[in-house]
Amino acid sequence: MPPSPGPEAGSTGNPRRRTRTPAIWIFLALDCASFGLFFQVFMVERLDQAAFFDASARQLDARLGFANACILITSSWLVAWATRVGMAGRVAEARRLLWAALVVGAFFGVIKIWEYAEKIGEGITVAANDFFVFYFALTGLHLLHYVAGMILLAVLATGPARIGDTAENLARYKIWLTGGGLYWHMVDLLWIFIFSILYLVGA
Amino acid sequence: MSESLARAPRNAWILLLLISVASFTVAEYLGERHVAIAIIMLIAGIKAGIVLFRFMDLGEAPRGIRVYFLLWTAVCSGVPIGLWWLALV
Amino acid sequence: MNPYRYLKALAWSGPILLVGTILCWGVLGHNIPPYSTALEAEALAALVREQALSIRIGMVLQMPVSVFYFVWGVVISKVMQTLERDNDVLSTLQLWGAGFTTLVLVIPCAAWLTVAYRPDIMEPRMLQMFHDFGWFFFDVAYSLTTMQFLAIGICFLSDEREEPLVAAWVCWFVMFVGVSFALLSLMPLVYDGPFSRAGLLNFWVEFTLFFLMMLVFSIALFKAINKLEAERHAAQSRA
Repeated sequence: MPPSPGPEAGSTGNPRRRTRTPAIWIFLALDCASFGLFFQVFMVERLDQAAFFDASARQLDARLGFANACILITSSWLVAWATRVGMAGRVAEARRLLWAALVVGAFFGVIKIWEYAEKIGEGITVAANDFFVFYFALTGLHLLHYVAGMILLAVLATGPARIGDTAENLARYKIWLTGGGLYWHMVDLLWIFIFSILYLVGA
Repeated sequence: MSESLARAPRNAWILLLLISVASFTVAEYLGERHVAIAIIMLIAGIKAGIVLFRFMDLGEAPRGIRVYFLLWTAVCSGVPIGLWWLALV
Repeated sequence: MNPYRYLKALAWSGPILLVGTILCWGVLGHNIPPYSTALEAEALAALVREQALSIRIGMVLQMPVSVFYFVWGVVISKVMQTLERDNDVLSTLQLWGAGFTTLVLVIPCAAWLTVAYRPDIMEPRMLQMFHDFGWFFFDVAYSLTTMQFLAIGICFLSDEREEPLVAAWVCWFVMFVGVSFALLSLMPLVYDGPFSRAGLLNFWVEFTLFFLMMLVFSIALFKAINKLEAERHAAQSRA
């Protein structure tokens, strides 16, 4: 197993960071809880119509879901790297990595839109059946999270130009970098389960 | 310096890609569905664990949050297996 | 001069609204639990006929109760203004969000009142139509409230105090509740199941979150006002 991240990850002495970073975890915890609830509700709804749900799931292209899983994992990795580099104070390098994460992440949106267009072109919309209500609800809600995350990454990558100016500005950038990074990892985390439950379980 | 900072998440990334391929292969080609479902969901749980600990540094988060996300991962990967099997009866 | 005069008294409008809405809109108005969306017009009309008096009393009382939401919003804006440095855009957005949400709590009551006014002679399809209209206004106009909740969260998170006026976890919780309303967009597309307006997710989870937010933020608001008053006293005794 790889070694755990070094002291760089949590070594800023700023007390505000310690009090604030865990706070975004509250948002992540609630968000994950609601998605977790959707997954279980989906599986419970499936109980009475399993064969029908599986037949609907086979209409999805698991390869597209798989490609998107790989895209988000890669983008998430670049952000994890950027966060570590940024916390060590090397902002310019962190921003280059964030740009890379943005470019990789953009493909997720392209594939998702293409997939939606294809489904709607085949006449499969949210009103098609119970399975596709969940398909559009889960992936749509996840897409909203993705869009918010891409905006966040773009802000972190381009952001206010003067962040390197003062120690205070740098500390504030680190808070945003940590928070934005955690959020982006959650987008990845949620897709792991959405992909497994919607695309793979019924494949 | 840059190398050492990058190593931990990079190894996790390679591992994630490898087991993603494994779970996709199982889903597409394993005929025993009730085994395949369990493998798919367990791999999803392991992937979630890697993201949580290697990318999000959950290990450094307060204890309550750590326990919460471990439970969340267990529920999200475990309960669907049970519900899938339940649909068979 | 006391900039915080009346604030604590008016902040009680939050708890009053919370309890009042659950009693008037929810219990008397027969919205907790709600009628199933899958009900046929005839079945819905029969239920409304049976419960018409209770619904009328509930809706008539809910209308004056709803205005407390606006009062609460004004108090929140006043507290937010103590944090605003460069401009007052966030407290303004919050105030308008609170004002519009107040209308969301008032106008659907008129629709449901219409339904319960002459249910014995009203065509059941017509009754169903007004009933649906009430719910769509009540649920799908969520973005007005989301705007308010996001403004609250962002503003209080920018607090630079060592011990902020409103705890960061409360801010994130409020913003989460605001964002979670997005799920209500699915309501008009389904007639049954967890995403319908009477379903597990779009009724029970969403309304529990909304009421929980009212409770949590009411407490946070009292604490924030207490803190501001304590700071003012400390500053006065120094002077």
